[in-house]
Amino acid sequence: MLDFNLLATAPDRLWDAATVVATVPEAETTASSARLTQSEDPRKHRRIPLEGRAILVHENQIIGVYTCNLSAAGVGFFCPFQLFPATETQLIIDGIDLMKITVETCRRLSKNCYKCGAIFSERSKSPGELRDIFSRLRKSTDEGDK
Amino acid sequence: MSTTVQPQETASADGYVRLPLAFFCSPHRPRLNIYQRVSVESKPVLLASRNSGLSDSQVVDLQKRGQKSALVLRSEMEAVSEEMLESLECIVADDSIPAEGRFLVLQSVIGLEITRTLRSKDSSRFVAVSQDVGGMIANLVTRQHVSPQKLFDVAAHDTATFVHITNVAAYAVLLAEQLGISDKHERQQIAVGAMLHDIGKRSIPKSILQKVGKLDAAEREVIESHPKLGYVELCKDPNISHGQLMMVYQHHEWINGGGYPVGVLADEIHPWAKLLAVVDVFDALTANRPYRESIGRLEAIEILATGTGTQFDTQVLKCWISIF
Repeated sequence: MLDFNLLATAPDRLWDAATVVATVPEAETTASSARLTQSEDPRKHRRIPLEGRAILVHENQIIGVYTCNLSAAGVGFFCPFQLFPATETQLIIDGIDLMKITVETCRRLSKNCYKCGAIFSERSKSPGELRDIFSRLRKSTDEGDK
Repeated sequence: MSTTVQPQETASADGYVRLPLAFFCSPHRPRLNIYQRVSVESKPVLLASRNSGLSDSQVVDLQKRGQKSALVLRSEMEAVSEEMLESLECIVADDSIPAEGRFLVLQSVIGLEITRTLRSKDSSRFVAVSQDVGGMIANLVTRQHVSPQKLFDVAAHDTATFVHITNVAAYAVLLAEQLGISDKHERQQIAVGAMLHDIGKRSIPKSILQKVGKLDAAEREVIESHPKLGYVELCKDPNISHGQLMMVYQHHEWINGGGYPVGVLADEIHPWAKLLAVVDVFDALTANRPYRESIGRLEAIEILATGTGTQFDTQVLKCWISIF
């Protein structure tokens, strides 16, 4: 079950227009891609690794971020600067609807890299919605492989 | 080298509250029975009834014997707390009472109100109390030029939350002044921010907050969430400034990035949070704990000094040390 890879891609025109882009330490990208089993992940909503790029629209600025995981409750990503809790912002990933998110956690990893956790602002995704997102992101991977 | 802190009678010690002698002579004194302890271990005995109050000759006699304070029953003080709260501003402005004595009265009077409002689900009352009391503390400490040593000696050193936050507010104002913050409004903001800094602990279970042994990883994670909880609780309040929010959110950050919740470096830590970090740890070290001896101020300073340039901003810490 869930034995597949998800890949996020950001629209090229937005990525190119980003005012600042996160720089993720190599060690962190390896760690983030490690898949946790249900028993290893103590959270109510299991996090699935989600590598790739996304666009954060924050205070009318276009920011390049790297995603690290996704669950029914929210999304984890690497941001180039600190985001404060309760900050409401938007995440754009190619092929799926705009995600309105609220920042929950932020931890500095290095200069230009803060690991952030955010929840979906409106509500958690239903199993059907999550399956739909997974299939779109998986499809993107397949297309990327071609 | 360390100094010994005398055990002080506080609202939470043994049912009595210590108040400065001069307060019992002021026009704002409430009608309370007044007690005195003959020796450290003895039970307090009645010195003057609420109807008679202290006579001038009693005051002179006590002063001759070096007494600077007397006791009232906590339960009796609670019964007149509304009256005392109403006259608190007058008490704080009353020059006939030494400034550090007024701080002691303030700390004792607002203890009950702080405890009550902190327990309330809605934090707005506590925020309002903090705004009032923070302003009073800032005025008292700076206008009256309270000596840090006297303030330290008179302040209670127990684990009650109201004691910690009022001590920290007073210390923060002292340090702000020493750092050259001359704007009265800014110092008041710092005092209020200091009063609010641990508001996030309202949501932490007592079993974790008061645990005597070592915290496990999960418990540590819970306790380390209090800056974030406090920030989230206050961030939409239009009366709270950015600097005050940063005091709440960043007071456990280390300048070398080793702190929490974010692990930001010095340049991302707000100056007020750097200031608060020093006095917060200082007060925590000098508070009496059930599981260890109290630490004197000089010993506490020695411990703080080990964190210079790593945990604490070097200039801020130097400034705090220079006060003593």
